[in-house]
Amino acid sequence: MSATDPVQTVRSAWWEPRIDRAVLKRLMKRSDAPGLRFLAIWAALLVAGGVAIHLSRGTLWIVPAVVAYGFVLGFAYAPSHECAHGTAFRTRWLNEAVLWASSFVWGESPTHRRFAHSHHHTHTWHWTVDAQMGYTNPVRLRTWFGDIIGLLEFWPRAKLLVRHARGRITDRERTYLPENQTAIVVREARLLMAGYVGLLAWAAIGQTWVPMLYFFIPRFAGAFGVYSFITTQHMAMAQDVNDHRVCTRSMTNAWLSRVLYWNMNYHIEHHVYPSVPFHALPALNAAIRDQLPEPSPGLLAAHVEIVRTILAQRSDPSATAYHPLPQTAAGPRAAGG
Amino acid sequence: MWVSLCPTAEVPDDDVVEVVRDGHVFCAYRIAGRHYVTDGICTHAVARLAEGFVLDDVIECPMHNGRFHIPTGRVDGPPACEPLRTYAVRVEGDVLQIDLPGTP
Repeated sequence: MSATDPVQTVRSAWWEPRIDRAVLKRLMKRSDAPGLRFLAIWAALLVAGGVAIHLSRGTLWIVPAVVAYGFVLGFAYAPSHECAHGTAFRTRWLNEAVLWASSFVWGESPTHRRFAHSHHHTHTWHWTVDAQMGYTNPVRLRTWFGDIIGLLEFWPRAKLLVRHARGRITDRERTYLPENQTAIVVREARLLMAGYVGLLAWAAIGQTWVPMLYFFIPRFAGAFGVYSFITTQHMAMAQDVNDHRVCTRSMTNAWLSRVLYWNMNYHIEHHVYPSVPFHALPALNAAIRDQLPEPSPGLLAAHVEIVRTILAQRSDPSATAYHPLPQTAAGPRAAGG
Repeated sequence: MWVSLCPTAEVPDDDVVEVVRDGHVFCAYRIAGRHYVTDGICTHAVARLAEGFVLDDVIECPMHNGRFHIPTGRVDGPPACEPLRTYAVRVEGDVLQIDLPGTP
């Protein structure tokens, strides 16, 4: 913010890269095609996994088949996240329809997801403020492990859904949920619960394993897949600092991972400009790469860095993972400044 | 009272420009050849709408992607919930003017 700027915005406290305005506007453009292509690949993998489950019934091969199918299913996170931003598709009804379908798999009211995630973008990795920050530094190894296998996510999310379905909104949630949205969150939670109960009723009354084999069991058994990606986004990075380059981690991923994860490996880039849709994040990276730290060279490298940092935090609780900033880039702004 | 906001030449086609007048932030647009002016700060969280994205006749906030219908200011997409203030506009010569109620 300049000295003459009359407005202190939520963005002006945060580091921003130098980028030509026309380039940024071009990157913000919306399209249906990339999202439909990513959805089609995800659906094709789900069908392949479903066929594998079907063919392996009655054999032990059903175990890896269910895990593999669940691994893919968990990536419902990615379209749900992008649609919560409203940037997945140019066509609005398509964005909302996919948000609903993927949020059903993900297990969270679409409206709550949207508002809580907006709050996360405003207060990224600020402890006790950020609505989606589930742990603080120093991190424990069991937190890392619980997060990547999904245990730290499922139980709180199930409690959240039940509480919302019972019509209970906490004071903390009211800090990011406008009053006119609370009834919508409650209604959506009840609809989701009705859907899950309906699937269970189908299994019980219809004496069929289909809902268990194709939804509930794989959703748990394969959850480690997507959570092993999500955990890398901020874990063991600096917190309470207004610079996404030091509180957020980007990493390089292979093509299929990027497709399943909807390019969220470009996570610093996503946080810096959330209006840039997932399909333009590689181009955004190319435009501002000289001002960003080096990404972790892959998923495994990101987890090695996390575990090393957690171990270092045992003797030095202030230790955090840090990717050196390029010499040409401006340093982080002081928090609140 | 009608007050001058900016030269019309400064307002891009099918896009937005921010104008600060007496400490108040406005957004000026020219959509399909017609001029519009709204408040320049998102009603959801304090963010400059001119840093956002114009999609047809909708402005999207750069911070949380809340959307507003430019001609009317009505909310077009969450997380925005409160409408955006709009202003009557006219062009005098090559200057864009807005009707600013309460201006002496």
